[in-house]
Amino acid sequence: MKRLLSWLVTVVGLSSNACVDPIAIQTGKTEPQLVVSGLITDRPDESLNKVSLSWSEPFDGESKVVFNRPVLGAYVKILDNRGTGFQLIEGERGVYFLPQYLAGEAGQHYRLYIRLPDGREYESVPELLQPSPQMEHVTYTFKEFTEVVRNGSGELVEQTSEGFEVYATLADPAGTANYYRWDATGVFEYFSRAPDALPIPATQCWSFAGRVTGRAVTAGDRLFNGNMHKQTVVVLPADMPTKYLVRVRQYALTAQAYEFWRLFEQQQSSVGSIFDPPPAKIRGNLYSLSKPAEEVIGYFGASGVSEKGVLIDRAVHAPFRSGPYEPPFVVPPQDCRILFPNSTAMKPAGF
Amino acid sequence: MLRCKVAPFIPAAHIRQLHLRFMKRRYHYFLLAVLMLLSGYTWAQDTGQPRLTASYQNQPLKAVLQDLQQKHRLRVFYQPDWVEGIQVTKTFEQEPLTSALQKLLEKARLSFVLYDDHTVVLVPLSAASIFRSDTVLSEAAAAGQVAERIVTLSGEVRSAKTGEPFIGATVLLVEIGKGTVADEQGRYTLSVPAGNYTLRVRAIGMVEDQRRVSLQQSRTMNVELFEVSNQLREVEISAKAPDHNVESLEMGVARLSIQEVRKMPNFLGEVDVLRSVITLPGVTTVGEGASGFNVRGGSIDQNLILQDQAPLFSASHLFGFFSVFNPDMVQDVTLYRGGIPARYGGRISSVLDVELKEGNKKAPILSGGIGLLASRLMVEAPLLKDKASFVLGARGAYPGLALRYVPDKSVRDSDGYFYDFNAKVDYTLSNKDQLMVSGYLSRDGFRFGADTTYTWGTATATARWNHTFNDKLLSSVTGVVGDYDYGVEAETEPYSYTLDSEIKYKQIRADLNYEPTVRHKVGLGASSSWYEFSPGTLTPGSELSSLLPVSMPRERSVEAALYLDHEYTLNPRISVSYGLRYSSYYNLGPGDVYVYDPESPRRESTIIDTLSYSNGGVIQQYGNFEPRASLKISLGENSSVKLGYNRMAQYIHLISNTTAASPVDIWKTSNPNLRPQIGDQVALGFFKNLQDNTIELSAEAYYKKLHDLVEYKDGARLLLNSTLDADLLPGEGKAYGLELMMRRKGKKLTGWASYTYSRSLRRVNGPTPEERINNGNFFPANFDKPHDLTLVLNQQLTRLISLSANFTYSTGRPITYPESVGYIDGLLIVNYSDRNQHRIPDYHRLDLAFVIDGTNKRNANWVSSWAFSVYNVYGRKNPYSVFFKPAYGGTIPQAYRLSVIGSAVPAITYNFKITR
Repeated sequence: MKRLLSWLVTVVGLSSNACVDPIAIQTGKTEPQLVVSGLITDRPDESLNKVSLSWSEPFDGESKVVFNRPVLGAYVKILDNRGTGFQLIEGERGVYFLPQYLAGEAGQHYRLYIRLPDGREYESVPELLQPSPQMEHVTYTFKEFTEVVRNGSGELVEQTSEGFEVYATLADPAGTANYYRWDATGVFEYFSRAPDALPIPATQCWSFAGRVTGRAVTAGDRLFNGNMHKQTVVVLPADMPTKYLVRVRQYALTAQAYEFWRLFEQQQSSVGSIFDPPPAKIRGNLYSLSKPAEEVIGYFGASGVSEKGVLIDRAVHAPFRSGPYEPPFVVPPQDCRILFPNSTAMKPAGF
Repeated sequence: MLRCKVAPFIPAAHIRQLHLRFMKRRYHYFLLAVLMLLSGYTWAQDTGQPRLTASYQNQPLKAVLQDLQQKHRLRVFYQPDWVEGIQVTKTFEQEPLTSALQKLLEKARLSFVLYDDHTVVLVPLSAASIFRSDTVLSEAAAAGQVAERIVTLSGEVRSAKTGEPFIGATVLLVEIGKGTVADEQGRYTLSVPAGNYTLRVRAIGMVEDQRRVSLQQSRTMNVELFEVSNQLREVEISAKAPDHNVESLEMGVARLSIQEVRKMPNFLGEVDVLRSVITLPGVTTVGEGASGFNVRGGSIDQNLILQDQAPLFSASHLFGFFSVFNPDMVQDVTLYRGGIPARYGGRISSVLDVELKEGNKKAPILSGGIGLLASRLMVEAPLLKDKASFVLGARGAYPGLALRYVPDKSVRDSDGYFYDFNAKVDYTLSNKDQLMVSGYLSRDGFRFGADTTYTWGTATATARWNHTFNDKLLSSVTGVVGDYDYGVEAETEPYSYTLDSEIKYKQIRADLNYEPTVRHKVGLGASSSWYEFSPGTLTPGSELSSLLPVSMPRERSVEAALYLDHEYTLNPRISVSYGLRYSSYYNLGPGDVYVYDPESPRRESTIIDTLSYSNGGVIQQYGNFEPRASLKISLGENSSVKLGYNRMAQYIHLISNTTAASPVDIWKTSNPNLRPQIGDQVALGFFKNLQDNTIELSAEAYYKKLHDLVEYKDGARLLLNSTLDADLLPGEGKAYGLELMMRRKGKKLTGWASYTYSRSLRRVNGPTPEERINNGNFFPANFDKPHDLTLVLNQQLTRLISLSANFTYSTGRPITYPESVGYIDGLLIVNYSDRNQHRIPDYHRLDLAFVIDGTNKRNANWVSSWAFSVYNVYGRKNPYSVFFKPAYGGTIPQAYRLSVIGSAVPAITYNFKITR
């Protein structure tokens, strides 16, 4: 419904009347709350099967920065419905992970148990791990995006940018209710220039960009049950005329987990129009065993995961609106790896 | 001494003082009548009026009057053609003004009224003669000797020019202070002791009619009123307001005539009924562009909106920027926010009753207006002279013109429109029978970019037959059919679809009014309404669409009601009115009803059974007694205290969890899982009029308790949800407030100032945490705005130019703010506080309007006016809402305020009226 508002705004926009201004608000201080972000999947991957524990940052805090204040030294355990528990290994900065050789199993229920160093105990509601249907394919289109921004003198102007919109297509299983969440990771190729001197340093590199989805992407099959579904997952930048490998991961969610992620997605996309539902607390599935009134932020989920990728040859659509791309000059003995973090000069799989 | 020729108008205040004494000491009637005249005479002599010394030789009377105006700082009001061609030759030496004027006007057959020391209103002698003291005197004497025998005076009040009835015209028998108000057909009935009386009829914008009536037996007397603007425009300044607000039993009732609405500054030059209603105390809105309004802490679906008795489900065009009422077509607007009469029911907060005008029964008229966003045209004409007439009105909007200038491609590709048509025919079958047929058709649509199109429309038809059995018994039978449909259409594949919803309704009602004696008024009636709701049918837009067809089951219901009320005047000081309405509701099959496990919160997973009902089977029945009562006690001459109670029941509900309802929200009828909403209200009011009823003061306090309100679980999904009942929570509410108002009427500077303190709180306290909001504590409703101050002023600058201003201030509405932030899966999550624990910044705004009438000729065939207005003069960026943009780079999200109207908005409108 947010477009309703933009239209509304327009009706009276004879002189760019409607406007959005930053304001200062007072919301009152609160005690830090435990924030839990946990997942167990059916794939043995320690970057997926992990739980992050941190403390929330008060909205009214002195600094306007959200520090990730990790919870260290906690005892964290995932239990299945046979009562077997697997203790998670504490890694860096409040991340607790399942050893590489372990993974969840479809059809099992899992719950999370946490004991903090100060003795406070928390638990999650059990979650059923459901398999994720395979994605048919991952596709993309090159697109122009137009948005209205305020320029330096405060006028509203249109700004056009370009990007590669990536879609996941899946055949939704008929009969059952299915809920999904997607994210994507990216690896991109880039070049540098070097002097004509031996030894020739590496001028072709690849950088692992990590997770490139900036917001929650979810869907329920209520309206397309049993049909093909094409989901927009992410928009990749059109900055360099090089190859980009994007991998889309699809997570199967329970109805409760979908509710949590759907509201999270709604929170991220709300523009505060009066046609948006008023913002509200998003309740997770964790609760305190020690103090029932204590609020815990976050969710512990169990998901089947499927993954598919596509290699985008961005050069086909160059030159881009942002201008011609000129590889930067790197003085030896440095090579192209200094230009982006997490980069390598060894061609990764998929390229 | 007793032949007081020069001051034929006796100040009303004197008359009223005398009335009281008449009541008490009828045998002194004669003596007091003499005193009255003496006092009138004394007043004319002793108020230090100017004296004249001048000499005029064969000078035009007009020039003489102008000379007087200049030399003596007099203001003389008259119609130019009364003095045309009249020459006077007179010499004055220290002559008192009254006698000088009398001599000057002899030849023109004019008399005059001294409004005050410097204001003189000329009156043709024929009209003035009925006030001649000798007649008044003799008749007053005669009346004093007549034994008490009750007779009935009835008749109709109509416009002399158009033949339209005057709803709400006040009819008063001056001598005994007995009066009434003309009903929807302009009819009035008064039962009084036989005698000779002065009948005084007044209506806003019309010249008062005052005539002698000999009432020795029951009789009818029809009164035709002349428009002020076509006669002496400024006579209006001396038209005294009726003391209706003090004398009647009504409280919490506000009437606006369309003349008043027209004078208020408006948004984009559009005269708008709903925007005017929002300036009344106790009425608020959540923000600019929000459709609907909130009355005394009620939500927007709790207002019964009637247009020619047809209920409307959407009162706005273009999201609240226009109301559905065509201002040219509107006769009269009444808002009942308390003291709701037993004849109304079905909604628990208020009744907005809008009556449309009848067509001119004398001559055809064409009128219209051209504005920046919309234009309108209306034609009315007699079908059978003095017997039947029709009126047709049409409006259309073209916001697309404005959209082209917006720096956003998707908005430029957007388009919108609305149009509406009104038609009304009325036919006087006989002296006793009247027939009226009225129809309304509207359509709204807009498209976002090239993709999504929203449409909605209303069609209603009303037929009404009024029958007069005799002077004491009147009846009226009304039938209404209506249809409200709304939908969304999206074209982008593979998600093209159309989503259609509809409400069909029919209503029939019969009302009887019986007034056996002066002191009793009885109303009796019955009504029945049928509803059929289609809460949503999703159809894939084409074969390429991957969406599935979904059809929500239809819901049917019948609501029947019976009412009786009685208004009883115990004595001139105390009157009571009490009534009872019984409403009976049936949710009818066919349909399936889910039975939820009563032990656990309602969810799809806690459905334990599904009950199926056949066509016409009763799924659920609810019945409610709705008592209404009010009491008035006069405290003295011009003040009274009133006390009222009413209970209302509501069986159909708007399901919308956004801050402002959108025109495509779902309506739902009560079922076993959704109980009817009940509202109880007690109110106490104090009313006082000052300065000849030109200043009205009122203070009203109310307390309301609301039961079974519709609230929502956090994050509820409303659209196409077959288990919607499980996402709804029953809530209770309380609302209370104090409304203070001062209103000035009948002077050059008119308007009102009102201040309201009010609260509206909700509580949802179910058995499990999931069924509670804010841990089961009371929280402010979305539209809870404790302080509300409104000023509405209109200053008549000259005969043709008026200036008006609105100022409004209110507390910001409640909102839910974030309390903390954290990271989930690397994404920033905002943790919000309990519901509605904070407020957006306060709202205030000033509007100005300037209206120039293009002609001052009497009976001109072409009358036009220009209206210039500026909305939000000082360009305040009133926040519509506050939201938080997701921050990048790990910072706390920034709060932004969104203002729909962030600067002053000027507008210009041209209006015209052509008569033959």
